[in-house]
Amino acid sequence: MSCKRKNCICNSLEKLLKEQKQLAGESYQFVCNPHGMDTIPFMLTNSHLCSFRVFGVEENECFSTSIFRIEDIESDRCCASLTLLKAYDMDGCITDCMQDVYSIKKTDQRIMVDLSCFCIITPLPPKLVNRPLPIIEPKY
Amino acid sequence: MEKAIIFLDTNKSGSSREAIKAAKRLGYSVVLFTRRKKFLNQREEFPDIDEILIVNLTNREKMRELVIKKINEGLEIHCITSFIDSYVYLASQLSKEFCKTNPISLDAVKAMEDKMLTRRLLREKEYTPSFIELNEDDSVDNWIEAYKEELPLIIKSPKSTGSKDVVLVNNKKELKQGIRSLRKIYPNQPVLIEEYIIGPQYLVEVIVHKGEIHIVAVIEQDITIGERFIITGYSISSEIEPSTFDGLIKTVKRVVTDFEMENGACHIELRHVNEEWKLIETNPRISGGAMNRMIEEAYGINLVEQTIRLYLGKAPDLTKAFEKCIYTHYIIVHSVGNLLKVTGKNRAKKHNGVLDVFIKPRKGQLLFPPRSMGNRYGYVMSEGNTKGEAKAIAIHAASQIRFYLQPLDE
Repeated sequence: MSCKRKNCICNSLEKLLKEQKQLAGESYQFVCNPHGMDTIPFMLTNSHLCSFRVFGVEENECFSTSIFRIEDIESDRCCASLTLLKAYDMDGCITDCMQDVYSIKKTDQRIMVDLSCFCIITPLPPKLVNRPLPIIEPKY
Repeated sequence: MEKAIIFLDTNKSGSSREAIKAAKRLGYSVVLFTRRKKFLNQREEFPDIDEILIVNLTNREKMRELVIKKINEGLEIHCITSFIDSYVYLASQLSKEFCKTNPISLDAVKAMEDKMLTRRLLREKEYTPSFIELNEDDSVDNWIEAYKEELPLIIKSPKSTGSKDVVLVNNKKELKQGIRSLRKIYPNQPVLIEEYIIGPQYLVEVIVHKGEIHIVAVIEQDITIGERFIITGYSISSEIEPSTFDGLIKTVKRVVTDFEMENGACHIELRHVNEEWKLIETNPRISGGAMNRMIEEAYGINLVEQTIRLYLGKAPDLTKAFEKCIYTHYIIVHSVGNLLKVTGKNRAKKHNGVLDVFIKPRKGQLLFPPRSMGNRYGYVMSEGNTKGEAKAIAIHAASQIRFYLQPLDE
């Protein structure tokens, strides 16, 4: 994927990365991760209104996801390094359906993307990351 | 003039609500006195109630004024009644004052409604368990030293209902804590301390008409002991051993006679221990929850309807149209959390033999382990050829139901 000149998505992701660092408490001297959150998950959509979906492999299992965490951005080239995030439903099953997403977990899979390919960024609530799955009752 | 029945409070579902529907079926206009303001916001959920009036149900004078107002507006009040704990006696008093026909035995209702009065009245009877009244000014420490050998014990408030404040205490520490906590919840009230009786528990639904005691249904109860005693299973069948059944009925009739109930409805809970029957408690009304529906499914008798007929001065019809084995399994949870969703209701309904599946809480409601019968969150009712079959169906169907709870610390 070749990286091109800076666009507004690039600006937005720069801002998102900055807020993500603030959320994680990187600007604090005396406290560490005061909010208990370090990720602003987001989705990317191209000009054809298609969600950017990536396939990854973790623990020998293939998965697909459209939710990412930004790790770094090269503003001059308008490229970003993203971690693939996995979405889970209430039953703890990986889900592709945004309506069913209850919890999001980080993976160790990273990709580099050309941000000029996208025109919409959809941030998701940070509290979804590492959210404990619901308790299922009664326990038989 | 339009004939009407006034109800003091109701739950949204279960026996008390079915009583309102029965009154409507019998051709009466229904007026509800309640303190639950939220009912007005949910008005469309109560099409069977003609008028809901918000009133403090402990303010008897205010209620008298409202009854008079309704009479002046042209309503002919045929009965004032309640199928909710704590208000049966009050409703009966008002009914006696304002209605032409009031056959209910007031003294019996009063004694049955108050656990302490029940114990005092029946103190000398062989079916009454050993008990002690601990008054508000009695020293707890001295008392505990004197009775520590009697542990485990049951402590309860005379005013508690639905197992809310009935606690099993196994040691001195629990006993002390239990008494303190009851005194905090019910200041100026004595604490009732009773021997702990271990044995199968039965519930008997009774109608008394002109002194004749009718045993409407005998129900075996399955109890889950956690923080409180919670009944999680009710079984109606004809499979009770004849000698057990005879002894139970004999004791029930003796209890009703000792209360001197001439007219009224009540349910009586007893435990069988060492070939003896011990009275756990009485209440001057049908059991709440699914009980009315269970009896209707088992025998074709709508007990709340027949109770209303009795209160209206008519003879109840308690003829069994058929006899079936019915079991109701109640669902409880063991964790605390906000309800996200419930699944499996339709799957449970589809099981052969399942008659009804009821889920009580709404999305977002906080659920927690039961501290009273009101903290049971649903039930599955089933029928079977035998008691065991009905129970197995209900439990299997209930196992399809899942409550998804969001932990509170999120």
